Amino acid sequence: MRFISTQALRDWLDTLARQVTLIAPVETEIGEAPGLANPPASGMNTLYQPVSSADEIAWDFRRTVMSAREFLFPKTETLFTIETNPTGKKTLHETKMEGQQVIFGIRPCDARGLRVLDAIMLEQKPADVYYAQRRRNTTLVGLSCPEMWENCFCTSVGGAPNSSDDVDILLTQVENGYAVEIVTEKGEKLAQGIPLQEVEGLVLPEPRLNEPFETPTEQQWLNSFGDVYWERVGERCLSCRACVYVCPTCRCFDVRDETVVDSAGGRIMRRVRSWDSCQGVNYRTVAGGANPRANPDQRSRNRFFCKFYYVPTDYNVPFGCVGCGRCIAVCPVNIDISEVLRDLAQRGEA
Amino acid sequence: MTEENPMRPYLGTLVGTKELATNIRLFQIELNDPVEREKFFVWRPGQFLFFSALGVGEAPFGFSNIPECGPAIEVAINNVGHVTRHIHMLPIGSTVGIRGPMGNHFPMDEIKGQNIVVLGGGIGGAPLRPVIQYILSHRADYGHLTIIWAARSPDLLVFTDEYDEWGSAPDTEMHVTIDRPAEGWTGNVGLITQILEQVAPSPENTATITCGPPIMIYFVGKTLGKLGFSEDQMLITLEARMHCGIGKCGRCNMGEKLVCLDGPVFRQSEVSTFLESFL
Repeated sequence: MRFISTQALRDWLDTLARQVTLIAPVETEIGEAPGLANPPASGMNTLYQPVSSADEIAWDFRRTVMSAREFLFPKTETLFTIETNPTGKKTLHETKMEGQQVIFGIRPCDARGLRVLDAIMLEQKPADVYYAQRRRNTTLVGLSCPEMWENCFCTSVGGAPNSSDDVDILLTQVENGYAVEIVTEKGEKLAQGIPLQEVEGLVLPEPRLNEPFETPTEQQWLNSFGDVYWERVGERCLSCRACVYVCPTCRCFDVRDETVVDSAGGRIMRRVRSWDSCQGVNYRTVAGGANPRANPDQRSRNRFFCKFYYVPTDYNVPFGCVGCGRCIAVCPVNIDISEVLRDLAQRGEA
Repeated sequence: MTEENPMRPYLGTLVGTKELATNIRLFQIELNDPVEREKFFVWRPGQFLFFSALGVGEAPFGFSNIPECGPAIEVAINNVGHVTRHIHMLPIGSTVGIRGPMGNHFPMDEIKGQNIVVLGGGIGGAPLRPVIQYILSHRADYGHLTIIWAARSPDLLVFTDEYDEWGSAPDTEMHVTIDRPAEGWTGNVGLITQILEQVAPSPENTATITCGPPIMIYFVGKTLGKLGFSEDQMLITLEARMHCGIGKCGRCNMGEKLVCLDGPVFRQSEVSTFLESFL
């Protein structure tokens, strides 16, 4: 088994941060919100962010508030610009992502989330070239979870807290350092710079697991489509879309244009895409005003069906959900995806 | 970027417009780059494109002509929302963005040798014009052509100046109707389903192609059923809000189906099995 000491890992990361964009979990202070009648409780959030040294990394982090998907599929990105010079000539420039990035400390569930995005954005043709460029230029150094935390249910949807399936390198914390599993060629290439030791008899800790549960069968999903159950879920939903925002596998986006005038009097038009959510009230509203998913039960149902029936039907992945539990933690009205799965698995015959 | 980027529009020029009906205008676009033009001019009846009013936004529209009836790309656009309002304000000569062709198409090869019934309602007639153009320019390949064209009122009928030509084409009949009586209108009055029942095309060796508001598609399907058509014989084309056209943005899903990739053309028999209704 290969091993790296904590200090050697930190030294390597310090060097790496000078060569590539290094993304890692960082403790960030929840910003003050002056003027708010009820300011949010002070505290810390853990988020993936670019870092310039190992000192900035939140080494004891648990689940980050947001997944790392924004580094492959940004919240907002410019697809292209069209410049109009003062003579009226138009030139189109496509956005390129050329630099290499390493995401250090990605959890196995979030890496599995990228596997879902790969199936949608890359494998289903035509590929999304923006995602493809970033994916090509990204190496994932995963960090095993020592335990499953509150709301975690990765083991019920085919994952595991120490799974190396979807990362390039997997690190697992052991005494005085980390066990290193090199998984892919990309990982092999990156690992050439790591001072690894061969250690015999290294025992990896067993992560503490949450009790797994059965998810509904395909037939149970189909049977539930017209069920009044969705009205009860929809009744509670505020359409706030937080669940989608924190989800590592959601891929819906909106596309908008904006125009700015530059100092020379030329105009620059930007086409921008941003994350969007099927939970929004007007997500499907067309120009004439018709909204095929006007009711909250239809929208709630769509989120669960997308994760557990549509994505598995349309793409080569077993689930569109990785069991990270973020949507449960963030929901202001306690809509709990694991509870929905348990409920549906108990309704009707399998 | 070395790979083809389907989110990048080709730049084109608005070369002409034509008033078709109240708030509905035909836009004629030529692509600026000859190489891109050659790549683009392969679309089939039923496919769609994204039209950008650059700086405002883009939206999907069905093609209103076939490449052989060029040289311009023709798209009929109803002035109904944010993007279309700006498209309607574009002066001739404007640079526009075009992406596509996208989606599947009417199975024109598969339905060769059959009689064809084309049923268009309002702006829904626009994506059916390529079907009529295609059949008339490959007349010997198809049997009897019945065109049933409808609108709420006479001022909403599209492509009126082409009805004579269509109706007088060999082995072709044309029926036009409006929903309610209107001053100066001497033609048929009644819903498209009523005219369809009167015309009563035979289901034998016949395919139907319908486009219109979802509720019209639904009731035309019911009426065709009464006339003895099976759902396999009924082709329909659907629309949905979209932001990519390539199966990524997630916007146009009807259950596990994506209108942009699995459609926009479907058989009624497929649509009947969809989890989510198109209505």
